[in-house]
Formats: sequence, structure tokens, C-alpha cells
Amino acid sequence: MRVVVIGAGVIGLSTALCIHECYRSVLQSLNVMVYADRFTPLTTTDVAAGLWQPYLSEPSNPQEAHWNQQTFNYLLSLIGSPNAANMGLAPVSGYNLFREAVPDPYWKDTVLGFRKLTPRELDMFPDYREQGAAGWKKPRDPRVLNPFQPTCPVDCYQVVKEGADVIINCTGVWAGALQPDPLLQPGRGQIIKVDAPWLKHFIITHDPERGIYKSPYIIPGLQAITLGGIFQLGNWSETNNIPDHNTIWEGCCRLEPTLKDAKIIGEWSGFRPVRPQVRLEREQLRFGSSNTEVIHNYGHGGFGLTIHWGCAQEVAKLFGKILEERNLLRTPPSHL
Amino acid sequence: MDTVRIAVVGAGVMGLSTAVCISKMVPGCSITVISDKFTPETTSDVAAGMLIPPTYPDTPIQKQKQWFKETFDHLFAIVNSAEAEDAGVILVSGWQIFRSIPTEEVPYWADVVLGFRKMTKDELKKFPQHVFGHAFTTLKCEGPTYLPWLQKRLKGSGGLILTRRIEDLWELHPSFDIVVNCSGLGSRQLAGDSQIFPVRGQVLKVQAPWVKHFIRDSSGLTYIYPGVSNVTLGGTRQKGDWNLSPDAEISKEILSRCCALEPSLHGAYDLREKVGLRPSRPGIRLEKELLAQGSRRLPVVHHYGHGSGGIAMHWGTALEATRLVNECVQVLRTPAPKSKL
Repeated sequence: MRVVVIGAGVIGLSTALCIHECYRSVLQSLNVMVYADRFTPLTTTDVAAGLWQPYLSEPSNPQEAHWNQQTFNYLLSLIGSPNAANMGLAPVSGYNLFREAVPDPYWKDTVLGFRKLTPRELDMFPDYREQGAAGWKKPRDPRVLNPFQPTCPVDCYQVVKEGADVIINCTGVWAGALQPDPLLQPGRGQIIKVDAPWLKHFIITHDPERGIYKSPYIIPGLQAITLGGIFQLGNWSETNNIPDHNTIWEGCCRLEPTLKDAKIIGEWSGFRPVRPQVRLEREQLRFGSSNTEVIHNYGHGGFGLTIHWGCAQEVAKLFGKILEERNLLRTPPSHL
Repeated sequence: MDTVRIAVVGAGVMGLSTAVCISKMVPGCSITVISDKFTPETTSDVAAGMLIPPTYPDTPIQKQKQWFKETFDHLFAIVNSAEAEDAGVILVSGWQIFRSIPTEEVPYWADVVLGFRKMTKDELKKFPQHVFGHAFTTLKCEGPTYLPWLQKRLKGSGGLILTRRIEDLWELHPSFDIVVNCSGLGSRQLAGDSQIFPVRGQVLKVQAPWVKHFIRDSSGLTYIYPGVSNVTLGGTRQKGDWNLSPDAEISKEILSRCCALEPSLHGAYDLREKVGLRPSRPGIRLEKELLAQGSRRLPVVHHYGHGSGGIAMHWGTALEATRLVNECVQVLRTPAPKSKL
């Protein structure tokens, strides 16, 4: 049983890992390979700040809320490990700031210690009048993801299908190159990484009128702080540009004046794979005389790290169904 | 009006902050800070500088709360300004955890710190040996950055700094009109105070930049305090121990206790051992004393004995010490009634 996972960002790697962990003991012939043209630190995942935080509004597909929670609980279980820092995992507390009152997010009971900010805390952010949420989440430094059997780069579906029994499509924003998807668009982001070790809290501002990620945010990572606030739908430019740099820098310095002393370490652009819903489903593709099973797992927008493990588990479930249909399972899979 | 010459003995957080306070609030005086040790070699440089106050049995609780609040508010204003990084003051959130439910579930300082609340059951799962906890946001004020910043401010307002070991407060007479005694443990000798004694604290300053929260066991013996450029792991409370050399066995033991609370600390690197002697006393000594020897008079304001709460209380007590200095200045400036012979 040859499984080819295309894509080596957080979605591809975690899905590959999940399938491997779930089925290797029940399927002797299981062989999972990850094909990609880009590996860490060059994937979209590597640009992300990695904070676990879903969008504020409920997803159109309620399963996504469930996958977010599964991911949080999974990461939380890893936090107590001596190896957490090497995995790129750490708890972090901070503030979500709004200009007007908003209802509590649907995930408030998933994170730990969610609460509204007190008046004195709000006084620290004079531009923001209302609310806020402090709660701990996990910044997951994407650069430290464990690569899982990375192999040669590939950019053609055809090459892959000839040797694969099942293809897992985790190609993210570039899924359209393999199969056109008008619902998938790049949500271009640009971020600045700085050295500002005195900042221990994330600060994320929200402007519901402008939309998600278009308002300044400051997210401390394991080694550096990520500054951002750019979201441009349909923009495929992978180069950093100066107006965006200025937007980020001015917005974040207004939010946190001590940033003026921060040393800039680097600047990156990436494309959030934006889609109205995550595409997580099976498809049978016909190539010549044979059918190849494909499981799509792409379109995670700006919440890939937030949702990745729940999706990986769901793909593993779908994979299990494929095995059942082909009478390949001798015993039930180890854990799902 | 003659300039009143004030000597501040001690250049830890008490000496420097009192000197700065006096320079701002007492007109017409000159200030000289005199000490044998300056940053980074003072006790204040070893302290983590967390604003979590201890309790002083001999000081009224209202006073403790006032001083802590004044210190917190003062540093909070700094942390919200562009000076935060220069002053070495940061905001940090975290937990104080208890192995058994405390009799006082809400401490007196709960409304001084930010966002104080009890930990949720889910949060406590991270600490299986503990059954209760506080979650809050407080400030950390780091000696090695804060003291030089205070020194700079002092010099900027005309204050002087002198490196000299004082063996007897009378050495300062008649060059100075008022002495402010911020000599910490040195007061055992300088003030003949047998109530002050060291409580030895050993700590490890390590690299673990992924640790963003403080964790403190309510006993005060085990704590993890993330700072700007390192994490302080502690500690010990060894009463009457004057030994300033780090003990390797103790360091291993501290690391082990901290790793039990925060397993990711197994990955900490670049460990440095430090020792400080907390200048401990049943109550903080904040009072005037008029030293007399023959016809010589030397007004002294004592300002020492903060134990483990030096940084947490320093600004509040410095303000009070400054008020006492002001009283001494008023007395000096009041013309003495003609003595009847």
C-alpha cells in the first residue's frame, strides 16, 4: 500500500505522520512518502507565527470547530514533555483587542483561562476601548516541525499517480496547479520577525470592518517576535514590499512603543491558502485504466497550525475507510 | 538657604531609588550615594525582581499594601512608556501554585496586580502535585538594567556617586548633614542592628526563551521567573547563612525542582549560578534616628530590611524615606532657639 502525500507544510507532514502512526501496525505493506518541491524552512507554514487561534466567527463547516479543538488538546498534551521546546511548542498568554464590544469567541472554553480584560489592562492600549481575551495558546515555531521522510521534489500529478495507491493532496495554496479550484485563493501575508525578548504576551488587534489579519498583531515565538497585519486576497507576489513593511511596523509600534528598540531579524511573505471551507474529502481520479484514491486536505486559510491535527486525524479516518473497502484491514486501527 | 548635604549609604535598589526620590522631591539639597559595591555586584542584581510581595510580620498590613501599590503603579507607568526597555521593567503573566488550599485564598495584593483570578481546573492539570493556584499578571524589574538606569537619572539631576566602604556612620560627619542608611545587611554593623540577618538565596540564571510565564510554588522555595534575557530558576532560603559562593549540589537540586514544574526546562542551556543574601528582618526599618556623640549630632534615616521583598516594595518605601528626609531637612532649616546658658 503505497501512500504518497504531496506537500510538506504542516498539513502534509502531520497527515503523513498520522496515517503512519495509525496504520503501520495493522498494515505491513504500508509505505508513506512525502513529496514536495518545498520543505521547511521554505513552506507557507514557516512564515506563520504559529499561534493557535481560530477565526473569531464560527466556521461554516462545524467540523472545523471540532478539528481546532482536537488540535489544541493534542498540542496541550505535548506541552508537558521535556522536549516541548524542541518541538517548537510553548504556552503563551496575551490579549485580543477590539474597538467595540464583541461576543466571546466559540473557542473560549478550549483555551485556558479565557477572560475579559480588566479596565487597568485596557488602559495599556489606549486605541482600544473594549474587551480583550487573555488565555493561553501555543505558538508553534513552524521551523521546528519534524520532517517525515522527505523525498524528492515533484510538481506533476501524473508522475506521482503511476506508483501510488492513495494520494493525499496537501498542496495548500498551490492545489489549483494540480486540479483547478476556483474557491481557493491566496491570502497574502507579510511578516517582520524581530528580537524583542522583553515581550512575553501576544497582542492581536481586530478590526471587523477591515477583516481578519488586516490589523496589527504581535506574537512572541520561541526565539523571536512576529509582527504582522497584512492580508491581501488574490495577491500572488512572494516578494516583501515596502508599503506593507511600513503598515506592519507603524501599526505594531503604535501598539507597543518599545518595539522601536527591537532589532529586525528578517521579513517574509507567504500565501494563506484561503477557501470558504477546508477541502477535506475523498475523490477517485481516473488515469488511463486505473482509479487512484485521492484525499484532499487543503484550504486552511490562516488557521493551518490551529486546525492541522484534527484534519490529519480526519484524513486518517478516510484512509481507514479506503483500507476497509479494499479488505486490507486485518484488525481495527490502533487509535483514531 | 544653604544646600543640605545628604549622603545615601548603599547603592542597591534602596539606595539608588531613595536618592532619585530625594532629588525629585526635596529641594535645595545635594545627594551623594556612597557604597563599596555598585551594580552589577549588589544584592539587587541577583534578585529576579518579581513584584510578588512577601509578608512582614512586624509591619502593618495597610502599610505593606500601600508600599507595594506605590511600587507597582510606579513601575507600571514605566512599563507602559517608551522607557520600559531602558529601565528593565517588563510585564509577565503566570501562576502561583499551592499544594494545599491556603487559609487566605485571596492575598492582600490581589487587586494591585493585574487580572488576578484563581486558576481553573484545566490550568491546574499542568501541575499534578498542586491543588490550587492564582493566575495573574505582574511586573518584573531587573536589577542589572534598573540600577544603571537609576544611576543615570541620579547623575542627570546632579547627584554624585562615590565608591567607598563605610565602617561607621560617623565617618560621614561633618561632611554631610543627613545620612540615609540603605546598607541592607551592612546595618548589622553600621546601625548595630542585630535583628537583621541574611537569608541566603541561590539561583540559576539560564537560557530558556520559550518560557513566557512565571511559575511560583507558594512556599517561595521553587520558582521560575522569565526575564528579558534569561530565566531565573530558584531557589533557597537559608537563614543565617552568609556564604556567597554557589553550591553545585544545590544548583542541581534547584534545576530538578524547576524541571518538575516545567519539564521543558530540561532543554535550558547556559546555566549560571548566583547567590544573594536577602537582608531579612521581622519588619522593614523605616525611621529617623538622631545619632549623638558628645556635642556632635547626625540625623539618620534608616531604610533597610526588606528581605525578599526589596524590589517589590522599593518605591513605596523610598517615598516614605524621602518624607522622613524632608522632615530632617525642615528641622535643620528651622533656626534653633537661642539656648539659655
